[in-house]
Amino acid sequence: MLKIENLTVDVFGKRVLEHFSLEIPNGEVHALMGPNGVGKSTLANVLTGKPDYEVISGSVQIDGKDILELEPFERSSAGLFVAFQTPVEIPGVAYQTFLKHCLNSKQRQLGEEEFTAAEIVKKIKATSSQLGISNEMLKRGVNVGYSGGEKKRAEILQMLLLEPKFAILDETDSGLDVDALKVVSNGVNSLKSDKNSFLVITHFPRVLEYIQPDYVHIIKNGCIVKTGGPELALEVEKTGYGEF
Amino acid sequence: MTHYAFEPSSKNKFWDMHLNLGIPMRGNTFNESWRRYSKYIDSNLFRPWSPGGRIINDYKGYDIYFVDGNLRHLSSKFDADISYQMTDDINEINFPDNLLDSYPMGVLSLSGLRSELEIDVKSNSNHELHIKLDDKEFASSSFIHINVGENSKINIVWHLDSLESSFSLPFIVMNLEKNAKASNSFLYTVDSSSSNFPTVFYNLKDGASVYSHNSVNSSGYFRKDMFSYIDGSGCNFADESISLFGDGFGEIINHIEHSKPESKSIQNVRTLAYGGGVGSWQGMAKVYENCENTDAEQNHKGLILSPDAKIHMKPQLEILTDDVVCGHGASLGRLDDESIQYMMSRGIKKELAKKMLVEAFINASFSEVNLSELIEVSISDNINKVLNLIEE
Repeated sequence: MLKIENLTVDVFGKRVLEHFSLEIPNGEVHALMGPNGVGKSTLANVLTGKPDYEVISGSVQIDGKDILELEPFERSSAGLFVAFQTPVEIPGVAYQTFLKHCLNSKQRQLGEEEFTAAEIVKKIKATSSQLGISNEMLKRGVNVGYSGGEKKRAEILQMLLLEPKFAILDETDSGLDVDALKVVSNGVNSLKSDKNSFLVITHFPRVLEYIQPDYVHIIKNGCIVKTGGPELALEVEKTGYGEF
Repeated sequence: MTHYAFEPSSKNKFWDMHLNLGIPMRGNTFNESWRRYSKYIDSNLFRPWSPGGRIINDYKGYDIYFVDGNLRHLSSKFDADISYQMTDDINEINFPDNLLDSYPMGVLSLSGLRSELEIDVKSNSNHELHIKLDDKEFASSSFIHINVGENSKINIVWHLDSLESSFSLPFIVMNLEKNAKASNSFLYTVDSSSSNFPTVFYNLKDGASVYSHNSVNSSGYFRKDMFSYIDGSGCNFADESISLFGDGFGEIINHIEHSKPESKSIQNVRTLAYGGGVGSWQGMAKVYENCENTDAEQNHKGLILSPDAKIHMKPQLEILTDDVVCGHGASLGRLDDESIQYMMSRGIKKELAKKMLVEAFINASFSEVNLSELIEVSISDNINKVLNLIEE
């Protein structure tokens, strides 16, 4: 369960989130919608611990544990995952090697035995085929030479392997064609359970046809201005964000 | 014994540089120059060679030949008829026949101040060899001359990681005849109280190829000079270096000269500096007149791992032929914070993320060369040793 209370954040002296509060119980999917530059991606970046984001006040808890006090790698092992809008390219680090380190880092943090190379390959292959990710792509550098769609699939692959308690999908639908959107959505839906929760950040309601939200929130000027059911996304489609 | 001509022409300015070091390199042959130099040295410094020649079998599956004592001249033909021959006033010592046939891969463990080792690799042969200079006396002012015969192939791993003495000067000269191939893997380690100046010369005839890999870890003063003279057509020369400089000062100087058309060279250099370390690289590719279709490339990348570290780079091209492909590139940077942040967001600790990025920096850009297993394993070992030194 994610619980954000009165979160206020500055970036380079400019306020981007103000008294932002949100609670997502386990088993629920929430959508966060809003126009450009209102603080949607800021929320994702603050939660992962990006250094330029200054938390002025508030708290963020996953299953009762305040993650703002944790190092970024500890937040991951506390159960947080963010599928980034534009993940970085890391030349020279093969994607499969990167996944191996991600998985075994989590094992170490949990005090559990590391996976063997064979176990990791088996896990990766089983999940990557589900997302249509080729072996050739796994051998390339992390996100190097990937198309926009491949980058999004690669993010979802990481999410499925790491099995987080709470995941943010930061505009995962942007740049995806309909088929890719279905593949990515199916991946997300396959992970849904009563032990985890999701926040889908998006501009457009289309993705919400494939990943059904329980609640939709509209954000403007750094705080939530309206909350409703899935019908709120359809309202946005008709009227835009102007009236909020 | 065949002596391979190593005749610098007047246009080979790098020999003049060598003269500045006090070593008379001009002469009819390289070997004769050295002999003259040897005579200049006080003969009292030479002691009779104690043959030793014992063989033990616990060095990674290789047999070890200890060449024990101070040698003025040692010649071993890679042939069925092996003889380690002393020159002039020192007795000739013959090893058993077929020694290297029985032990085709071996370790030469060398010692002796101002020694000279000459290895002739006969034509159409194939050898792998470890050369271990683990005695600081041998490293000082000693000279290793390797002649690789036509169509021969030799892979050598040089163990230079225990050279702790100051002002060590192991000169290594490798002459490659037509279509000869050589792969060398060097590992240098220099501690903070030491200085080291290894020098390597290559001379390539038609169709010869060299792959040279250097891993350097130095916190003292280190300078490596490499002079390569491509004296044939259809040659391929590749030098790849990874240098990690700690609180000391390190210099890598690569000088390649093309004197015949249709040959290719690449200098692929990666320099890392940490602490107060200063690294310096000077690359030169010189292409003489009438060297059409030469392809000479220099590629240097530097990675600064701490605020006080510095790296200097100086790629240079001197081209006297119109129809050539030559290029140079040099870049310098730090570890990418966004990449570290991304990796941490996936549960990877900062220290491991840094190490992975350093490894990526080293691995991402080397050319793909088909190497023997011996050389590949050695390079991998060397890189791991360097990586393990990265501060966490």
